[in-house]
Amino acid sequence: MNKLILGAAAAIALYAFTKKKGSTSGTDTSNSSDPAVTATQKATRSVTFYKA
Amino acid sequence: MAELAVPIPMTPRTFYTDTALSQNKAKMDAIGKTFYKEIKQAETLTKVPGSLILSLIFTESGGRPAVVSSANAVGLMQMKTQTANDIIYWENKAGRLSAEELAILKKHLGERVNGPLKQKYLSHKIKENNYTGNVIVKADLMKPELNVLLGSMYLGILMDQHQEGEVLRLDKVLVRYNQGYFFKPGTGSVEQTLDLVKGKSKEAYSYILKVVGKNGLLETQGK
Repeated sequence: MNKLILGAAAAIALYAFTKKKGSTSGTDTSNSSDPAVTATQKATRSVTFYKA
Repeated sequence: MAELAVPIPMTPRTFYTDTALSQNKAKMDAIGKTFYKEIKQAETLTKVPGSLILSLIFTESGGRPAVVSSANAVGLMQMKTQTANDIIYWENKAGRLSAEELAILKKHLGERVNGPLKQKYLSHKIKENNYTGNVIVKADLMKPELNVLLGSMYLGILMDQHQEGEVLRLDKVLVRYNQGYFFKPGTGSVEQTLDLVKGKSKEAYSYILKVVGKNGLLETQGK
């Protein structure tokens, strides 16, 4: 019985750890959050105005 | 100041009344004169229209360089220190930092600029940032030249992410500037986006209308 409880506790702890590691809320620290923007976009950005 | 490739107003919805127009115009003129050098420089370097930069300075801080919000957003464009650090890291990583921009960053940050320049990923804790993932402090962001340059770079990143074909979705740029980088504005039209934002945050909804709505700050500058 004790082994079963310990096993369940370990599984919950592992699940919690995995969830934390994979979290994307708040400040994302993975490389995938880098914006896909380029130097060309910045250099050629349009600043022409027209009014609807 | 250069202007925007976007129909203004983007939406017929209004925040400002007709009577607010002249007051807003006068206040923006005053802010524009006080910080003309900083805004013009940021526009030249980042190619973000000065009219948009001025609109955000007006909305975010009312032109007060040392104001700090309850959320710890600082200065003219209400930048947060971590966001400011991340912007330098992002711009450098994407090869978008010009020599002129780097010179201004070095002028204000000195050797600390090496923190974001040497990071390998976001929030990377290295010796150059004292293992904190951030070298920027609030006092840095109270300097108008640095604040406006970083705020404009951030706007530029968001603008490039929301250039949808020929259309610049300024509504989406604004809501993410206001609500945070990770806010998801969806894929709908301007009106659908406004409805979505209205359901999530009244403040963010008003924020968009203040800039791109009828009687908004960009329209006011065009008059």
